[in-house]
Amino acid sequence: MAPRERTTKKITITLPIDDAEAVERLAESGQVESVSRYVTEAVAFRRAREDGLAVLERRFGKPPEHALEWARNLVARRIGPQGPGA
Amino acid sequence: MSQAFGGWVLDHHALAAWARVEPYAQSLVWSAMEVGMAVAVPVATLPLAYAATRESAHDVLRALLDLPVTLHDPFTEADAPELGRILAGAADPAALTSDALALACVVHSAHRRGWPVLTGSAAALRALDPDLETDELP
Repeated sequence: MAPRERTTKKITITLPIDDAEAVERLAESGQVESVSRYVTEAVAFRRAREDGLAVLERRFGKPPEHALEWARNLVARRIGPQGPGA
Repeated sequence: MSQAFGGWVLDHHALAAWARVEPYAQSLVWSAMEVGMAVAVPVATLPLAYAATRESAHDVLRALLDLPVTLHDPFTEADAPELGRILAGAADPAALTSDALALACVVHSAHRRGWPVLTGSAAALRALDPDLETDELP
């Protein structure tokens, strides 16, 4: 039987203490599967966002500033002054 | 991509605007993606969006559907009763046009997600739900 191919890699990361403890609490309480899972999802989320913007820019170019200003105002109105994490 | 930060439901007017690479529709998707928000496309709106745009724009529409920021809201048998309620609740049923079912799907998605609708024509949506939150493309 062929050996199973590794799909994960163990690395060491450094987080601010507050963030690290917050994620550990989520994992301990069962709200997230594990600290690794949480970090994996955060990385995937950021990569998807950046990849998506790169696709848009490559394909259509960045939208004109006046239209972006209109859209960013809509976004700001929806998410409020605290940003999307609020 | 996460939908935790909310987003917009796109109707066929907004989808057609995207397909025609109109700057405001493009900008809304761009700006939503910048902050981790999403856009939802009720699949029942897609035939109207394809019908309203040239063949050459269809690849542009498909590009939107493939983005990680885009969520697809299906149209299934389970949705039919609620869609029926939305259509039956129209203030003036006689005024409903041929896009009424697609618009009902948009209203249904917006209700389910608690998101506003990005549209090029808010009046038609308001005929189905006068309280619906909408953002109209300039």
